[in-house]
Amino acid sequence: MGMDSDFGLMYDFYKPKLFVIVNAYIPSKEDAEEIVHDVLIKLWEKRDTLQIRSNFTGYVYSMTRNASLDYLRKQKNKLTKEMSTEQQEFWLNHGALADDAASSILAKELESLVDSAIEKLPEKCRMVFKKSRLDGLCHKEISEELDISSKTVENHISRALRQLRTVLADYLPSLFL
Amino acid sequence: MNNKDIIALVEGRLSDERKAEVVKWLLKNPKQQQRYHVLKALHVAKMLKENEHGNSGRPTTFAKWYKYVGYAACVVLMFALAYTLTSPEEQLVEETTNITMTTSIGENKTLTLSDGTQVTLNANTTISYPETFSGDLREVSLRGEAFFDVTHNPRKPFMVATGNGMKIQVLGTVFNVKSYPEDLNVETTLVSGKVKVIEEHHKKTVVLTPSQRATYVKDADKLIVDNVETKNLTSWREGKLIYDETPIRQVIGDLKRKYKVDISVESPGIMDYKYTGEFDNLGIEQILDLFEVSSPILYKMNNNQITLYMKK
Repeated sequence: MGMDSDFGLMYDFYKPKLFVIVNAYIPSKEDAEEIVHDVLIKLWEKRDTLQIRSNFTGYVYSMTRNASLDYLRKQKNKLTKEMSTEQQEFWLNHGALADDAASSILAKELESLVDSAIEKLPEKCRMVFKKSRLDGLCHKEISEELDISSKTVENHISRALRQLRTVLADYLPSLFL
Repeated sequence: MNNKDIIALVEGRLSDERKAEVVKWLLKNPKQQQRYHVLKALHVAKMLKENEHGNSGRPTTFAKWYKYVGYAACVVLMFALAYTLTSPEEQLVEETTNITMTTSIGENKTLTLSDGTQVTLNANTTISYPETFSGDLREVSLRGEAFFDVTHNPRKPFMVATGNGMKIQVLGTVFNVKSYPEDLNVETTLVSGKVKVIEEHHKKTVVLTPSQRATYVKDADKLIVDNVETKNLTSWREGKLIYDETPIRQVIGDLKRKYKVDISVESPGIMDYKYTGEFDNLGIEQILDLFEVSSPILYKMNNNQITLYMKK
């Protein structure tokens, strides 16, 4: 139960942001949504084996970017008699997303959004959340470092995620909830 | 066709027909395409931000907002364009100004990096690091031995590349890396904090706790972790060499780097002999004399040419 709701919160937190990015390069809403969905599921499944010691958001972004590039690559290389405007756009957008300089603009924006959402949390809650999600420390490590019980750590994290979710629930409600 | 068309395309304001033309034109013009990449990213970043600031049901204020953001974005965009279009290469060089520091035989040196991290280099060592750390990684490369006291910054991991099959990643700790190309092993010893050691060939990772050492055996392609007395492995900074059941091969390696001498071995058995002892700021001859009294190893010295052999 704990894990499932943890996942739900993480999902709701990142999904709208990632969707905006992916959908800008991949016009099909359904496909864009599927890509983001798959990335977040994969991320959750791999969470135990992954060693993300820092910058979780950066990691989420690059996973999303890679998945989108895969999709665009397939689309642009489809064999057709004559290249449609749609396909040409896939070429163009593949190049645009593959461009590291351009892509880093997106990564930075995403990070700063996540940061500012986190800054709005109460202090203790924020500290715990940061250690967990951004530094990749496990609950036990955090409880040792901050000298609080493991249960309190969990409470802070779900509180943080819940609050972040309500902040985000205002945006594009029709699409994401 | 010009910039306006690109912006209109990015913002999705073109008719299908016009769009087809602009897309075709862009695909033929790599320079303009670059421009599109950046403009597109800036536009998406803007959408992300607007998304966050809420646009729930107040179209009029939102429209004003949009305009305002639009102006701001234009300014940002002009800077960004100037940045990407005028001198991409120059920028690149500027960002990666690397400093290389080398110590010669017998020399130690302590330096402070831009983030406050202190590094002490042992003899015959080269380190290179950026003048200032940009990006989200603090990366240095090391050839030789160094003692690191890394400034804590969880958002920006510190990474030591050895080019010898081992990589070390930390957030802020005190540790020692010994990675001489002529040595058989690459070693990382943790004094305090936490480090992640990455064995590059098999992508194996171990996380060390204080007083642990990770040894990568180059020939056998193996990573071994053991518990050690960290003082023994870091006291070189005070001019001390401390050995505890250390293969003589390693002792000889250390001596060659600390003193300008050439050491050869007459009896092959010597290389596997394990030496225990402490040399506290001694000269090479004093050390060799100590060898003779504390081990079955004898020496002959001819100028700077030293020959070791076993007592019969």
